[in-house]
Amino acid sequence: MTNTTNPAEWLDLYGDALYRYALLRVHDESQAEDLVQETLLAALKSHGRYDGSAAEKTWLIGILKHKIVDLFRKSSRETGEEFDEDRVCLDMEASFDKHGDWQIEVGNWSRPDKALEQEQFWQALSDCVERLPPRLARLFVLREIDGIESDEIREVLAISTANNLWVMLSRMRLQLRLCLDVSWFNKMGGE
Amino acid sequence: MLSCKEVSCLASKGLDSHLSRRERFGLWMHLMMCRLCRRYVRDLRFLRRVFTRAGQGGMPPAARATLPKASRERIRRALSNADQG
Repeated sequence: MTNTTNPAEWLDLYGDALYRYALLRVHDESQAEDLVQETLLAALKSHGRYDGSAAEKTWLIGILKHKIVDLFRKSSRETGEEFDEDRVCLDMEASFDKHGDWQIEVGNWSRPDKALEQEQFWQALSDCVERLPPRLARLFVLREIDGIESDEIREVLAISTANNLWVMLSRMRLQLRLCLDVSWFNKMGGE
Repeated sequence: MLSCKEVSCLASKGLDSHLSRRERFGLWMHLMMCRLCRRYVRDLRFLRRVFTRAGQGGMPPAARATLPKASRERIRRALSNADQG
């Protein structure tokens, strides 16, 4: 084995990086801590199989990534919250009238690029993601943060049809946009 | 003619997959005439960039979080137990 550190040092070297990676995806401190522990335990067990080809940190993140996807897969089946298209359309109807026209204010975001430079904008986005229903929050992570392909997402989150996935993604983005409208861009309007 | 609701869904779908010629034409026709949907579609593209950046650099508070001391010790113990076991 080449260039590998002592497993006893992993926690000090990569503990924070693994924790941040997990926290961005599960938004729950104790769950993120557990994931770090499980990852390092799994890595310890399979240490002999690590061939040293990927950087050690990348290898550990890879294990963590699998653990998170497994967690999502399990939660999507456990809760039994079967995706119900009628309900989704009902929820979306709050934004549209019976003809399908906008019935909410679609605020005009002025200079959105400026927001990217502001710490509070990212905090606002993070808060908005936390406010998503659990399944849409998982969808956000898989699709937007990790860029996972749609077939795999459907398998992980147990979404039966491609059309259901498009509707859920659309609803997730609509909700985030509305939330940012209220929590960020409306407040910044005066600037 | 597509409704705004359908357009919002199609525009989102267009971020993840290929739209058919028919879908693209419907979208284009609607956007020609609808200011709010033009705004919405523009913002969806902006959000896509935002999300990509979030995936690369993280977002506060996760971006700067550190593993709390107590759980660090707990994990350390778990690891050394596993190592001996």
